[in-house]
Amino acid sequence: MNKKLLVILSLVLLVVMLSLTGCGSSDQGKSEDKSSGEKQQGSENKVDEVVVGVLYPTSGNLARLGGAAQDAVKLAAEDINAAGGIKSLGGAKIKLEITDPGSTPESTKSASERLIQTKKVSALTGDYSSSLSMVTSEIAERAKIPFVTASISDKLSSRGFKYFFQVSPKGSMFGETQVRFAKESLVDDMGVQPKAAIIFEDTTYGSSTAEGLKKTAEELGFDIVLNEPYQAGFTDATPLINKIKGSGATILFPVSYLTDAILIQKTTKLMGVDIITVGGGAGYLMPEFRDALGADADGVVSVASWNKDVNKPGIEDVATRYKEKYGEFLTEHSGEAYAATWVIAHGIEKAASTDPTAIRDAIAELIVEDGMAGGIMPGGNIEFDETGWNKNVHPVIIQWQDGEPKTIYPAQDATSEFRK
Amino acid sequence: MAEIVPQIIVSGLLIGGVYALVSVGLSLLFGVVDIVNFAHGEFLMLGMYTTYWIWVFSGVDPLITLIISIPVMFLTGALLMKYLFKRVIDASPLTQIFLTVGLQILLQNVALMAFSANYRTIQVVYNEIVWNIGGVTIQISRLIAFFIAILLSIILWLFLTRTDMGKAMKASQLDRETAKLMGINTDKIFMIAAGISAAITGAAGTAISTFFYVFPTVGVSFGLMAYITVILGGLGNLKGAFVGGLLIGVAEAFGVQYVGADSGLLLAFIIFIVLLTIKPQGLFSKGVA
Amino acid sequence: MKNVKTSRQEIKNTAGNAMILNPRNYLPILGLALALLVPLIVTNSYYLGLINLVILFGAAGIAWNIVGGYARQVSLGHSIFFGIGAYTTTLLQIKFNISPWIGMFFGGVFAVLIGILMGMSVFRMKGHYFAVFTIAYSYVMMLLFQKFRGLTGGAEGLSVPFNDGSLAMFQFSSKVPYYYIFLLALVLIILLVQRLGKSRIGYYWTAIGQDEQAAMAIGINIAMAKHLALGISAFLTAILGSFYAQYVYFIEPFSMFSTHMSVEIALVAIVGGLGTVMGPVVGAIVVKPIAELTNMFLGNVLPGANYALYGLILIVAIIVIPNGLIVPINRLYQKLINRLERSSDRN
Repeated sequence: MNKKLLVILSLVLLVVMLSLTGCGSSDQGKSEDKSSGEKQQGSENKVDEVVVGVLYPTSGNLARLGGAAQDAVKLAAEDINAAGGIKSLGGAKIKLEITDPGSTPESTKSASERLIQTKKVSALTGDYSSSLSMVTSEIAERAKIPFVTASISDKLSSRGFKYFFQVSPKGSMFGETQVRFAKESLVDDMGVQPKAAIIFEDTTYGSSTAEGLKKTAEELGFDIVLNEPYQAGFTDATPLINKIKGSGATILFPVSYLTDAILIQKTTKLMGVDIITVGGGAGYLMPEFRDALGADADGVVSVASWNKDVNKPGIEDVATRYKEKYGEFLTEHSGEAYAATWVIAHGIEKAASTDPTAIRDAIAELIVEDGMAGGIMPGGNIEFDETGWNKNVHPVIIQWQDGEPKTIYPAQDATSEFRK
Repeated sequence: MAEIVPQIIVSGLLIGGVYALVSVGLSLLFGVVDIVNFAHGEFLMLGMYTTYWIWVFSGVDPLITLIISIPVMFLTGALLMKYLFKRVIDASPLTQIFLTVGLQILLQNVALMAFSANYRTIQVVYNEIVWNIGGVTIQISRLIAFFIAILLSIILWLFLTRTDMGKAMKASQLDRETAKLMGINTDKIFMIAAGISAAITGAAGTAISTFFYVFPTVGVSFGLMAYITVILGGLGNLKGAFVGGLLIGVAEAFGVQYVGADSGLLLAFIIFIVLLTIKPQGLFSKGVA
Repeated sequence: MKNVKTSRQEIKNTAGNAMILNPRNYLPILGLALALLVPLIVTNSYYLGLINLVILFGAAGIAWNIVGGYARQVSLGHSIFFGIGAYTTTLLQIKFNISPWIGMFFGGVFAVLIGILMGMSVFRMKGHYFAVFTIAYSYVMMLLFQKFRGLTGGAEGLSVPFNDGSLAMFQFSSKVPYYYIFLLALVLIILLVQRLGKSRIGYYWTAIGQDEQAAMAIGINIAMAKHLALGISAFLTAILGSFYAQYVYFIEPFSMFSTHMSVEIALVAIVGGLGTVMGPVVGAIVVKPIAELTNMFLGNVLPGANYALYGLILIVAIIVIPNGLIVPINRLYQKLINRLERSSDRN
């Protein structure tokens, strides 16, 4: 029978090809590197444009914030180009190559590779979701392309990657900030009993934030009466609020995306549960949160990785122009996306090259000081440690006041007072 | 902990009523036309957007928008039957499933293109009112949604049992060929069934729009619940779908309380699997395998 | 069957070899030879990556086809086996440093066990019931993997340990080795399913798929045959799932166990042709690039436009070619063979 023959033939051929290409491929990779390096030297530091790949999800469940962040990157690119482009490259313009990574690891992998392999990007930014960033960072690391993101998962910077940069605070810091604020402002100042309920959505974002919450709450002497993950995107918060009510907690630390945040907030009020909420960012910071809750939003406190009125020079100008252009206020992810784009621009400027590795080295040494464009992250200067994390950044606490999120904590970033 | 049980049951029943209406819509389409529509949840989404936009432009109470949204959704369903579902009526379940999966992807993304991914909410005064009866809190907007679900289910039942058209529909559910021989225009019946299926599911969307939010993929979780419920009750069995919906709502609420807040769905699914393993043709089947 | 013993000799004396001159034999070999040359032609690793996914999903579609196409048990829960394979392999690698080459077989066995467990309840269902039941199982799996984070890493997902180029650990810096490994898997699965399809059990499956009552009447052990189909399908799907994890580098329960994933696997078989060996390969060649192309050209135009077009193409495809693309392609292929045979006869 011919099938046996086929099997044997194909096996032999496969083994031969495998061994051949296995050796050949690594050489191929090296020669590619060389040629691009040569091009760099020959170009006398004068290029017309530098290509930056942008990967924000604009379809599926992540579309809402992905779209907003993509707008912020566009604004940043316009600002960079309007300010004269990359001066060390003779005023080269930033050219954005935007694509939709979808909402699965597979589609993110494809999109990342497409940008790297067919658009010859010098750097990448995007993926506000940590799951997607896990994928893009793996691909960027292998392709040796710097990837600057505002995703927050602690895991991202724990893998020893060289081409990965995280401008945002880490997930575990959010909980810590929430609890510290609650301890200082609620327990110490207002005499609230330290009985905490922690509820978090069962996602990367939720569980990494909740870990930090629990740890700090225990350290600061809180009595944790409830600590529970929940299924994100529920249709009814009543069962969950029942549980919180039954636990006798006085302070609620919810880590929730928008839809759940609204239902939790509303149901808590409707069921007359007497509890102070210190929100875990995300849903608690979006314009829709205020739209859905109206006046009830006022007074709600939440942690944020960024806010539009953090005490930083130039931040108001960016926020105002964004709002004029896109019709809604600059949210936390979008603000960070703006900063991340500028980090890339400063990196290219410093490297005076479009070579990804040169840009990577420049970003690793970069310090974006207050007053420099894009230097709008809370805390000190934007400066990366050896894991690629912006080591001076920390989360802030905001409070909804008169329909706007205002920064109230910590003191160095605050521009408003906490209203009790 | 026992004093919380009445609250759990009430909460579960209220949301279960909505699941029930959505499930009845799905089950009707299956029963009469023999098609499982995987884009069923998207009818709910379309109903919600219809209500939302009427509310935005006219400011009328969302419940009044039913006057417009029910005919609009009826037409949507009937046209989908005429131009799409009809082509696969005699095809294998597989073909039907993938046609409607394609429709689901299309509708979700057309909604994304047209309305953006923003979450939209409707503000009504009675959303802020709650009743407290013997320690059980009842949110008025949810109670209204529950009653709309019950009311529409009763109207549908009366239609199916008391009108000629409804009886014809039941006849074609029982035996398509015989119905045809009896002179029943099955094409028309199918269009009406699809129309009703879309209309009552859209109405369920309107009912929840006072306390829920609208976004392009809002139908997914409701649709999923509906498939589970409908299978649980027995495909095409409307009574089964209705009771199944209530049951799933309550099971979910108990799951959150006693198994863990991330386990409501898990419990609902496990109950589904166990029950169906025992009774493969659904809880309310007449014992015919 | 007589040819088997003499085949080797025949190859040696190439001249006048009737076997190799038969287009039915040399066309597949020619096809395979062309496939082996692909990495030499497609040097851009993005496009080669896309081809790799086509091969992987083509193979998964064939595995699915054993249950869904031959025995006509419409499974929309194959993401379970895909996910089990991916998770078992990755967890064994992370926790015990076991090479994926070994881990994948544990994944396969584990998937078979889950398959048997599932089979005990799902095989009492028919048609739509079966489909929705398998969906329910995949949700249970997704939720369990999210809940037991100590064991599975929970919703945060798992990264495949970074390992820049190691055959032993199934990691390569280039796309080319993946290509040949996936191709080898595809060829082996094609040969296996071809053989199964012509064996007694294959006829059982087809009989069950066409008319279960009749199949029972002629004395086929239905439960046994169905379990065997699901078991083989689950094993192969799990192996491919472990390839997938190694290839995408990162897995998380939400996408691994999603119905979307099950649909993607089944879709290639449906678009290509149910119950045919090569159908899913044809399906994958069409389906995967369409998703990618719509994203490439419309992903930046208007949010949602890419997937809306994808959905529309899907609807049109199902209506226009309900029996799958393999039917017209097969017809062309037969014509080609006939023409070649006639021309060789004349010679």
